Amino acid sequence: MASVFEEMAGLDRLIHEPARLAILTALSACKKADFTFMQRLTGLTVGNLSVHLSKLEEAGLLRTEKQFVAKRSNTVAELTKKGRAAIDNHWRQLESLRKDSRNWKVDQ
Amino acid sequence: MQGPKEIWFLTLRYSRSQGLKGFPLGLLLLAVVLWVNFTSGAARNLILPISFGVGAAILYWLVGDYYRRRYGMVEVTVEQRRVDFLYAALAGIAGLGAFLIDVSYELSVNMVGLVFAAGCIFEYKRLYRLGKSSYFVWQTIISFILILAASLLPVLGAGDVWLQLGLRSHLLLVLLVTSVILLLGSLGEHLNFVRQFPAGEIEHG
Repeated sequence: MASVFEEMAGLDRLIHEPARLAILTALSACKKADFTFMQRLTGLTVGNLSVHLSKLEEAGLLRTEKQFVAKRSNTVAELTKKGRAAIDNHWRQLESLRKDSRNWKVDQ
Repeated sequence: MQGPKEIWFLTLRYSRSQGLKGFPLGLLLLAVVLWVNFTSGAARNLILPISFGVGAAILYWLVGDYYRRRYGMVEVTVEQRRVDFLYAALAGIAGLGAFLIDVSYELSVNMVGLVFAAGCIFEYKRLYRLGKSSYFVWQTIISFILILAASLLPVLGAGDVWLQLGLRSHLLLVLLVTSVILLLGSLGEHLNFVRQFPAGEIEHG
């Protein structure tokens, strides 16, 4: 049923997954953020967060860069132009869907 | 996981919500107030106030480093940086104007205090109203009332309360109250920050 709604709204499944949506939403509010911050914010494990970042990077929605801070590696992520447009569009679609849902009527 | 609105808000205000960053500023203000209060005549030796400033700057950097290592780093957008700078500049101009009025005229209200009180409301409207936490509402209300009351003491019939406290002027009392609010507020904001970024399996990626 959920996929029917997603198709109806034309939502991008890659973005709509909750963890990835959280990552993209966070990155849309800043220029860039590091791995530690995203982990704290989302509560994801290292492995899970890495997988989601990789998927988003493969789709061209964000770019990552390894930095070394006090001899420890830290990944910094930044939305690409495509990623910023995609997340803006996604939230617009969700907002539009929310507005439309107010007009739904239950058949008697 | 937090909701999307909270995620957006926490990221946008990440640097500003790092409460302990206010602690060195509160300490600096408190030290300057006490130094001015207990320095008689024209100050010739400025080593002490300069060392306050250097100490506060070092402490501020250490606090920033603590947050960066433990909670991570967020770089704000250029637009956000510009807006923050603009508001900081406006606040500085308003504060300086109020200070000049306070030292030039004998008013029964303290203008610096009124600017600080207005700043509390303005900061809340600008930065925190979108947050889910009720902490900022209470912090704003308490800070506003305390600073406003300190600024209006002569009007409220307590015209010499600062003398009874051993302070030389109304302005010093207002700044003392502000520094205590900054110190206590920074601890409260830090506890609120820790609640919003709970510890989990944290490792560098």
